[in-house]
Amino acid sequence: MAKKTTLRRPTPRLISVFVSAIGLLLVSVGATYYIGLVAVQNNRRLAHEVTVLQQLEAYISTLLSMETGQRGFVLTGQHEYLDPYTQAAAQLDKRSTTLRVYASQRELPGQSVDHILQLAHAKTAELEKTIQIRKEQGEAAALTVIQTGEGKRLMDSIRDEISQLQDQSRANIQADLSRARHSALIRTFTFISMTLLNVAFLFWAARLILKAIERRDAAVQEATNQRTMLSTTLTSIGDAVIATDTTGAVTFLNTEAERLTGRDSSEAIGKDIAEVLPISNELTGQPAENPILKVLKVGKVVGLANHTVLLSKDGRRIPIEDSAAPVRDESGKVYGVVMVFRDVTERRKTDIARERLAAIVESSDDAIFSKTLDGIVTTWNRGAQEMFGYEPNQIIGQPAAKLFPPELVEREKSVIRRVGQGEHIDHYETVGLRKDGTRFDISHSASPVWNRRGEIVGISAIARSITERKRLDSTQRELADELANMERLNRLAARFISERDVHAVLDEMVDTAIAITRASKGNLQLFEPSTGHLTIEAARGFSREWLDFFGNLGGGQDAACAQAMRLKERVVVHDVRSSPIFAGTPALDVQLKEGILAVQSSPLINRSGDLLGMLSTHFTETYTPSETELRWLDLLCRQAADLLERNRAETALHKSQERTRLEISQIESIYQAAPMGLCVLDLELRYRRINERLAEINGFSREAHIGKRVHELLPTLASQAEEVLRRVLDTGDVVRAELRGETPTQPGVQRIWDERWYPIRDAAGAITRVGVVAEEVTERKRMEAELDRARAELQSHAAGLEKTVAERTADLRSSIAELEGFSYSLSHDMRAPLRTIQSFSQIVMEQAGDKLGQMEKDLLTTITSASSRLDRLIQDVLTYSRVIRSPVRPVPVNVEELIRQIIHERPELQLPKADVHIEGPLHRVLGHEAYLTQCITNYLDNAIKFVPPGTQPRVTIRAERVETASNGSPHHHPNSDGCVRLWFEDNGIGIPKESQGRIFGIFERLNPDASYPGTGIGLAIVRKAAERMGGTVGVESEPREGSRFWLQLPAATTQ
Amino acid sequence: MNDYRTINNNRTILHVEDLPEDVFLLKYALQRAEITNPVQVASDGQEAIDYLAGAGKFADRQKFPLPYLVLLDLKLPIKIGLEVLEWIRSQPALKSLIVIVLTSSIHEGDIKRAYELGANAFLVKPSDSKVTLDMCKAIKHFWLQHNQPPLGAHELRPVR
Repeated sequence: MAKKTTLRRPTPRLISVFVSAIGLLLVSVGATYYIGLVAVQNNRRLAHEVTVLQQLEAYISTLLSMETGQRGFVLTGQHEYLDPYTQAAAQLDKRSTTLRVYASQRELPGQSVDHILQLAHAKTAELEKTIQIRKEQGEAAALTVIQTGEGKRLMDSIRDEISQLQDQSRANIQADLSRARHSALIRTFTFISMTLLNVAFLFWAARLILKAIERRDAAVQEATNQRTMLSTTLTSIGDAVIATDTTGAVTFLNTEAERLTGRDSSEAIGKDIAEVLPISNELTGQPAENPILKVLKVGKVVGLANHTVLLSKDGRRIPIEDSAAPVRDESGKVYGVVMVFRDVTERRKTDIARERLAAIVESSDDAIFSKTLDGIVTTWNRGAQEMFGYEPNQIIGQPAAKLFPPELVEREKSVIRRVGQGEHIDHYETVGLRKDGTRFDISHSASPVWNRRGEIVGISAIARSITERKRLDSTQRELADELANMERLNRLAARFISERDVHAVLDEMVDTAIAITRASKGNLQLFEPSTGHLTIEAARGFSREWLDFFGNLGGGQDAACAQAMRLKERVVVHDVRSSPIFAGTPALDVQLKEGILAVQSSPLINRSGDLLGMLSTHFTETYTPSETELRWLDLLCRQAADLLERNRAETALHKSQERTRLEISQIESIYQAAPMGLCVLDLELRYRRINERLAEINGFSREAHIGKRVHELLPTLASQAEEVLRRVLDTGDVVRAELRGETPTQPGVQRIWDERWYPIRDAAGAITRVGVVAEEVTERKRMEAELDRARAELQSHAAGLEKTVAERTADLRSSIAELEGFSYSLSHDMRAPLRTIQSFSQIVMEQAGDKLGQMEKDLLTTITSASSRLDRLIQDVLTYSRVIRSPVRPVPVNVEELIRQIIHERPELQLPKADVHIEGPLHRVLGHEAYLTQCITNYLDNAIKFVPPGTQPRVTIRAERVETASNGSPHHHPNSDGCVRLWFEDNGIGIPKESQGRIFGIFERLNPDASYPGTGIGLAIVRKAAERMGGTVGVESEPREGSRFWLQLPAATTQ
Repeated sequence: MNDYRTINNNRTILHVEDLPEDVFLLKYALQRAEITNPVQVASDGQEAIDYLAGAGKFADRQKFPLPYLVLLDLKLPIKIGLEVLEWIRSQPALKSLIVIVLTSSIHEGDIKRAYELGANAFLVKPSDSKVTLDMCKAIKHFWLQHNQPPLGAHELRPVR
């Protein structure tokens, strides 16, 4: 192709040669033209000069002619001699004009011409004069004039002047001629040189062109070879090839293209492609855009649109497909298009057949699938997908055994075996297994799939759901049912609107529910929100016993409706015998006895979601509702709920009206009977309503008030009332005011009312009336005044009293302080001498005991013990007084632990000296540990002290819970939880009944000092300490049978 | 452990007590308890302060050395025991002096106050001389034998 492009593009060199040659030619043409132009101008000028010369010559000859004529006439007197004169005179003017023109064109100097013309004029005048003279005076006269020489002189001047001009013209002509010769030389030279140059160029260009032609011939030869090869190839290939130039004219078509288009190359080449290759859309029949033209437009490869048909010359319609591509030269310029296309008739037929088959398979409601002889699924249509529930990607590659229940898998295998041997198995009924595990009846066919070699390579299976067929069979019946249901609901709806008797409608509702669900019994219950119970309001088909049992149900009971009530959802009991609702309940027996095997209960729920009732139907066989039934049931329930809601609303409204009426009458009676004055006034202060009490106060009957103004009845109150009304209107709120005035009933008595005026508004909120509550306070005011007086007195008394109290308190405080000082002194100062007495007696005994007699020793011992007892006494008194004084804040105390500790620290309370036994556990009490220790120690000390001689003391401690109130405890602890009584039981000498009351007093001793020493303060301390802790003490005893002392304290709250 | 005989037996005990009987009873009991330490007696609060301060007639520290232990009655003439105790604890040199309150008062306020002011112990005078003896033995065992005084407590310098 490279050669070819050389052909088409002259070399730059060749171009430059041609350009130079053309340039040269142009230059020579230009030069020749210019030289020619100059020559022409020269010639024209030359010609003109000659004309001017001739004119000058003619002018002078005209004048000479005139003179000649004049001379002739003058000499002869014959008039015929005058002819030349007159002829020349006639010409002279014209010639003068010509000269003037030349002068004006500056071809002759103007001055000379003017001069010549003047002279000529003068000459003419002279001639004419002489002629005139000759005529009149004769020859002589005329000759005289002529002989003056004037005429000759004029003539000479003219002749001189003209010959000057002629000389000048001749010089000009000479110059022009010389120029013309010169330019002719140049012209000749130029022409010759240019011609030579051009010849040289032509030689050069001819050489280049010849070379280019040689190359071109070689390239053409090569291109022809290639073309031959290509066209041979193209001719022999199976695809049709057609090529065009850029205008769309066909340049080539191969054999196949000839065959398809039905046109020979000879016929087609040079024709427009649209004519050679008419194509159209197969589907629309519309002419399609030829891809070649499209390529020419877009300059890119284009594919043939689908469904393109070629209309061949012989009328065949051949579906074709393929593409067209632009052919570009080296520079990328498109110079042609090649289109390759193919007859796809055969393929199209196969495709169509396959598509049809696939569409049939795909659109079939039957499950159509294929499997290998090993039972692996290889194809899966939409029908199969819908029937079995598997997506193609879920089942393809999987064993087909999955599609059948396990027990039928063996049978399916035998089917596969038989089909594998070439048998066709026609519709046999079996069971399919869906992906979700449900089973369904199918009619199944299986056929072998053969390959081309006649081998069986797979099995094609068709399954048809019989369930579906059955369902279709029943559709008509269902439609009839639906129609019936619709009619029922319509009828019911109509009745809901017209019927006022709710129960009749409820009955009908139950009937409808029974019909819709094909039940044998049914009932409707109403829900009572206050009790949470369902009560049967309408029922069909139940025995008395059944109704008694289920008549009134709570949510917790064993029934479908109770369950539905709890869930607020429909409950369907498919079989009461297997339902967990009824399992093992008496309700099951009642249902079975009634012949009920299944129940459905649908709650009736209003639009705000509240339960209104329950619509249940009962079945004598097991029951599973169909979707249609549920839908109708839902509609019915919706209607029922609406009815109940409406009914409930109406009832509620009725009740509310009744209640309102009752309330109003109650209010009215209260209003009338109220012990305070009540009235309603309008804004003009007219009584609109008044009660008995106020009427009585005002001193007019109730009737007399109505419509009258306050001003008319109680003038003394009018201005005050106006003021209060104004305030009510201003504030819009209740106004309390005290009104004073007189009434006709008590003339002259100033009465006082405490009144509240409150605004009464209409629906728009505007105050239209005022309500007045009036209470006469005349008496109260009087009493209040007295009370104030009394109070003032009392206050003065109280002030005195307070002073007294303060004084006494101060006294008491100082007494207490003194007492404290006393006890301090007691403890310190009184004990010091005692200590001295006691210690010194002991020292005497130690130091001088052996020197003393028995009596002295006894006395010293007595001194010692007496002082020791006194010391004890002092200490006890101090303890007692401290217990009285000190404040106590009780806290929880583990009393059992405390007792164990006390026993542990005191050997005399332990075995063998004593047997103290705790019968635990002892409840924790609220107390003060130190005081408790004091109490317990004192009790235990007493218990082990007061025993008959030789007896081992035995004490049992136990606790008892008692209620707080029963024992009248003076203190009550809010955090206490009843009380705990601690018992201390001993085997001591006991206490006589008559003494039991006083043993807790201070300084009370019951026994002689010798046998049972003591200060008589111990139990007093116990009582005081117990009281300080908010507790009590006591004793139960019989002489010689031991005592049972107790201490009762608030129990600590158990943790 | 320090032995009583080697360390604490010659240290002075200051007994602050106004009642001669009680002074006698204590002295008697100390003897019986075989406490050999020299015992100085101050018979009122001011005297006790003077002694401890080395003032007036107590200026001679040879004769009246600073005590190792003070037995302090509370009910004293001129200045009561709690005042004395407060003064002692206000003296930098006496801050760690062992002060044992020995009184007949069992007033709770006194006990509380004494400890607040820095008493090392609070003992109630027994009525029984045998108990007094026991108490003295206890003082000997605890304070004179087992107790470790702060360093330098035995070489307290006179204060002024």
